[in-house]
Amino acid sequence: MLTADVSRVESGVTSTQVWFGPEDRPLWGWVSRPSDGTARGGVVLCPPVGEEGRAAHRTFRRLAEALAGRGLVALRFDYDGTGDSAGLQDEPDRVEAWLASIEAARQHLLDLGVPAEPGVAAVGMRLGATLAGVHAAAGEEPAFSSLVLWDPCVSGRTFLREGEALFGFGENADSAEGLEEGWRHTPGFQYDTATASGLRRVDLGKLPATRPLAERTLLLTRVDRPVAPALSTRMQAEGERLETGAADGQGQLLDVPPELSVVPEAPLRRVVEFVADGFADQAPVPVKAPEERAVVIGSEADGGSPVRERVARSGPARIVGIVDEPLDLAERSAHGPVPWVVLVNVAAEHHIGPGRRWVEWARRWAAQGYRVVRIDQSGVGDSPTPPGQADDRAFAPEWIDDMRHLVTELRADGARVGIVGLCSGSYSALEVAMWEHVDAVFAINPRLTLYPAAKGTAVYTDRRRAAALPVAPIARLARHRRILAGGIWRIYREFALWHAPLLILWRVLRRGTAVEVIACHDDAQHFTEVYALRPLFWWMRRTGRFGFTDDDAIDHSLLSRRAQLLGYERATAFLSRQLPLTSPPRSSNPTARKA
Amino acid sequence: MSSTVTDSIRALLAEHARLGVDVASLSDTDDLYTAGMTSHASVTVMLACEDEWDVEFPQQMLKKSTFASIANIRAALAELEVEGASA
Repeated sequence: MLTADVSRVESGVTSTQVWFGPEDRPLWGWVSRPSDGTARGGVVLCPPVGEEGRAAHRTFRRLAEALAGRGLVALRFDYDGTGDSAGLQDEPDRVEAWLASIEAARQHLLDLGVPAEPGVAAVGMRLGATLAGVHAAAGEEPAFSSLVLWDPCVSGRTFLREGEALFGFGENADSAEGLEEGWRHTPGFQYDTATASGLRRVDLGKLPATRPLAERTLLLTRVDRPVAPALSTRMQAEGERLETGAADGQGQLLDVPPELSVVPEAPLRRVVEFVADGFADQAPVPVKAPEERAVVIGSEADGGSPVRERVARSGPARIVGIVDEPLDLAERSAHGPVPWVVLVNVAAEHHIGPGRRWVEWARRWAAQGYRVVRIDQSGVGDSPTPPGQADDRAFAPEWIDDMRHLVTELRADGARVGIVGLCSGSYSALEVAMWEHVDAVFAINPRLTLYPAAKGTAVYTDRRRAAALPVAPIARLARHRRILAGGIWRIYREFALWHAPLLILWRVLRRGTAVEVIACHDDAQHFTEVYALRPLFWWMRRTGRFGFTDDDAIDHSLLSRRAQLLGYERATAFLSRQLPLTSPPRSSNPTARKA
Repeated sequence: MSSTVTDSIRALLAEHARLGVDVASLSDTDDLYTAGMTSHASVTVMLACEDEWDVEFPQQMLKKSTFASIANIRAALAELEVEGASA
């Protein structure tokens, strides 16, 4: 079964997953600390919010481990209602909750024994920097000894407007007319009116100049964009307490889809040096080891419909999975093994899913009675990277073994297993279904023609059973002319039927796995356009174990609210049909039970 | 035609759009994306316009075509009743 020993020890640094903050609304974090149990100080790491937060996950993990390597305790965490923390991302009035999360993180470090003098340091990026700056200036005394503002948003308004524009300029442009009223839409994440108002109130340019942000502050700004005059003016008030530098590499970190983000190495080193220098004169003192534990966490707003959540590891690669279980699991198990649902990370992004929907779906399904685990495959998110391999390799060959071990472990007590995935996660689901018995696969926008894993790429392997790998000349062409290569490939496979992605679904279906696909038109056509296979497609739908929906309400990356809601609705219905619970589902009424 | 608003748009583009060409070489109807403006740069242009004229583009105007040319930006500002943006 999944193991509970979660801490990771590497190069003299121990990283432990922690829950902290309010007991009825716990916050998720990872504490990285020197393995000898001592530290010279502590650092709170305030990540960006929204899609930028997903993109910066690897950077913040690296930052935490590097700071711990310099003798500090680093706490990277998710704000209330974001990432893996309790709460919903679209609950009202988020800004106060996010600011309170920063204070809770600072307090948690002090509780672990980090010396109160000179005090805790903080590093914030983008809106995380804005929030850290606002929190720093909120009290009579600065909250932090040292503060790093890494490419800060000058204000919450700027953050929101940028996000709204990126949403409108992106692949969701055509769906703008169908936007749900009352929400401010950014890629993947939506905010209510109260949160939008709250964001307007956080503004680094308007912080009182008479109140220092910290004893020392480092401001890193992009060289490829003008610095907002209001930010420059306010930061000048820090006088000799201020250092400045270039936030190089932010374009490769944030201006690309999260799965393509690159850690900005030079600024990361600069941040580590700056923070470590602030504690250079401090002698190491013993600090407590954080406690690994499960928590009871609400699956709905205000802590309603609680479930039990814990972190576990799976397989010899010890990949990380976050497990949600119903509170009455023992009672339910008396009727037979409770089914498992697996939510797979997308490409090289960590396990929270688009708009952190995997977190919310997992908790809701657990509240209904399922056991759910959302995972990071090897080299991604919070999971280890195999020795000698690079981080964040989408379609890494070791993912095949990760998924096989996971499914084997979940089925050990005879439980039925269903897998839900998006894009590459759908591929991983179908791949493992070709190796091990999987009862059900819900595939959102599956792409089984794997150009990134074609022959000649770093992740090529001939072990794949659920991939259509383009032949070498087309794979080479695709590196420079992707659209042309795709067109040629699609014409070619009209005749070379054995490359048709529909056949993969057929093989999975024949192995006894129920399959449902929902896809935007671009992704759906790969399964429907081979004329010779249309009778097979018709027959598959007649089996009653295969569903297929071509729906342009779905965007490929599931970044729009209506696609996310539709995905949840369809996946939930699919699970109830294919993995029925043996005892009646608990009410999902948000007010039914409180944590 | 308002030369003041157009000139201001050109100045903002020169500072924020990171075009591959001199903005002075572009006509009002030339495609800014073809001239090298990225989606992220156009977001910066959008924010600069909002700051310059103290307006907020509504969600339905937040699409790439709104910022695809100087003329389009001016038309959007006219729709928001920015003084001098109307022909």
